[in-house]
Amino acid sequence: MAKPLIEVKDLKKYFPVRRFLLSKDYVKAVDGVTFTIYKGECLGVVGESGSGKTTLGRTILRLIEPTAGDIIYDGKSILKLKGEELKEFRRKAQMVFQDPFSSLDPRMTIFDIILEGPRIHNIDVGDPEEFVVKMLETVGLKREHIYRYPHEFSGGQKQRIAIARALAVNPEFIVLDEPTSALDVSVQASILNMLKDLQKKFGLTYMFISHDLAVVKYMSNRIATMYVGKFVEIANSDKMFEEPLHPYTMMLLDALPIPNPKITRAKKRKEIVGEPPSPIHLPPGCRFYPRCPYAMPICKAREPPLVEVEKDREVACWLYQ
Amino acid sequence: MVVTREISFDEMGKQLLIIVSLLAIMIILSAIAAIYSQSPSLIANFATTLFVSSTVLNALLGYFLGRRKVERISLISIFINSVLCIIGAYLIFENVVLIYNNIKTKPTVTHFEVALTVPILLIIITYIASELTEKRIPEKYWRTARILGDRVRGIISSAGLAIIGPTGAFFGVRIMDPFFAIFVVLYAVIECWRTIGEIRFVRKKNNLLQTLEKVAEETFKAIPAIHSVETEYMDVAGHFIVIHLQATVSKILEEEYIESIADFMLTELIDRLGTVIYLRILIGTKEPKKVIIAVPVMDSETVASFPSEKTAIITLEYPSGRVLNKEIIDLKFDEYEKIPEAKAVEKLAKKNVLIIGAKSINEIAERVARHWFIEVIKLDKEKIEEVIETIKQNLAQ
Repeated sequence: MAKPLIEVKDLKKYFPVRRFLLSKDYVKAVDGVTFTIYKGECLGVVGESGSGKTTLGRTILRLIEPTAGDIIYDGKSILKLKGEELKEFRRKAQMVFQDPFSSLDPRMTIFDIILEGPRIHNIDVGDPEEFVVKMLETVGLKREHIYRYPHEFSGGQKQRIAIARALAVNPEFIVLDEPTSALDVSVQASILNMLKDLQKKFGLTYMFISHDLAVVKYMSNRIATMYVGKFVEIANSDKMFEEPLHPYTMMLLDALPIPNPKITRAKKRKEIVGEPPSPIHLPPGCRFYPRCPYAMPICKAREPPLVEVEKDREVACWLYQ
Repeated sequence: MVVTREISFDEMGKQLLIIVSLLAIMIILSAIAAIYSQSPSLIANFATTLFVSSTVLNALLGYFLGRRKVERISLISIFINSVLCIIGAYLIFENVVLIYNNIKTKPTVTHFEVALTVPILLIIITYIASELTEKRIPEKYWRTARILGDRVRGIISSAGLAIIGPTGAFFGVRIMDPFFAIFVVLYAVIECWRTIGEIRFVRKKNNLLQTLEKVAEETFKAIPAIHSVETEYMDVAGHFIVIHLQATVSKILEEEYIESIADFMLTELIDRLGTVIYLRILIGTKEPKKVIIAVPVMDSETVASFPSEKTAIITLEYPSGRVLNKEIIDLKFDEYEKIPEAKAVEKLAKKNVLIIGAKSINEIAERVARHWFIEVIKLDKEKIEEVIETIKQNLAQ
């Protein structure tokens, strides 16, 4: 089995929201998440909008400071890193953002955008122009693009540039935060294929955040389902799709459109009913209880812990405990 | 065997005592500032402190007197609220006259050292008290903590307004004090109205009692193991609710199951009623008159594994074990039901089944049965009569 690269322990991120004058409430964006990402794998994170996926990705990279918990990267707690050590971590762990239109500086040429990282981290790239051309070619762009500005590119090309920028510092781990959600379907496929090829070529580890289950299945070895700041199920991606265990994962998969009208008509789909609870005041017990079709009395009284129910499979549901 | 659950002293009582202690300091400080300075702003601020203290006192009353089931807590609370309202209203009236005189003649704010320091101290202490309220009281009582915190925080607003007038007077603009006192008085009126709202809340007592009975009937009694739920005591102190509930569950239930039932009832009531300040649930056991058992069957005689499409529902007289009724129901679900075994157990729970007797049982169904407080007895018997006989013997033991 591969070695763990990142171990996240009871990670919490609460955002204060002002109520009135000095009174504050807290939005529990990430509320006690524990998991491990192994070297060379891709962990997919799925969930509805507002479930805390992006906050989790950003907190893991320490782009935002966690409220509580610990993040161990390659055996070291990243929360204790300072100065050069933190800078080195920032080189090793990169992020590709959802919106390629706003993640590139419009006043910089592609040459400068890609070289910015290596310059900050004092990486010897040899001939800078050749280096940038090599990076562009790695992501399927051409030499002629080197001195252009971001506005001269399409959405798919911009996302490729963002990926090239992340790769330029020779990272080990990349958080891909919905990298294809702003792109059309044909471009999505090419970007996903490219990401897979790059993972193989450079031995990268990914955390792939998306609300598109089909995309996550294609990319990931394991998938974690997130619901209102907590992981409710973590499983091997094939297992998750063949036999989801948590009622929320079941509902998410049931909501997937099937491109065959005959099957769609025959299949009585169970739609996800209701709304997620407020992340400020969560319901007592299981947070999925108000929407769960299998709710039992215990679900309201006690919160189910995430436990291993079979090999490489964790579920937070009283149906399995 | 009796199982008890209550809102503990550590969770609520201790925090209330700390808040009351801080409030006592605030009242004394406000009074000193008002008396020494003779500033209309600080007199109005003192009135606000009195109005606000009614909520905290109601919470304290509700918790400590409610624990002892003292009769007519609502009346005691109305009395205290009314006294505080009358004193506060008198202060406001006197203050209005003082403001009028001060505007007409030269205002006379004295003892600036008190007039300027006390509001700052009040703001600091109130902030500590409100933060303590919302942070120390556990999350599940957040609505109770919110009422307390919001009300206590009113003193911060009032003290913040009250410091402006004396500060102006200190720098020579003496007329600022009576003019800004008008705003403090207006704020005190708002707080007075809130206190009157607490007095009027007693009218909702019957509605709350109805909600409580509805929860007992629709939620608690829907669980087969729960025989009866009775409201032993229910009263309100301001916005806060005090409840003593008594329930009886089947004697054949194990202690672990009764503990879970108690936890469930406590959480459900706090969630449904909201501003609960004290809640005590006492669960006793009772010999059932009848026990309903479910036996999965292949045909009307042969026992199957659970879940099975056909299930016999048998009502036995307790403790004699005489069969009172026997019917076979259909547990078939549509093929798109994701976890049919969970739904099957839920269906049995709605039929008040207390025991499932089967040759074998699906793992999920067994867990779901446990969470619905249904006992599972695995029996290696072929005939339904043999199963009934064995369960009878088990019950007799």
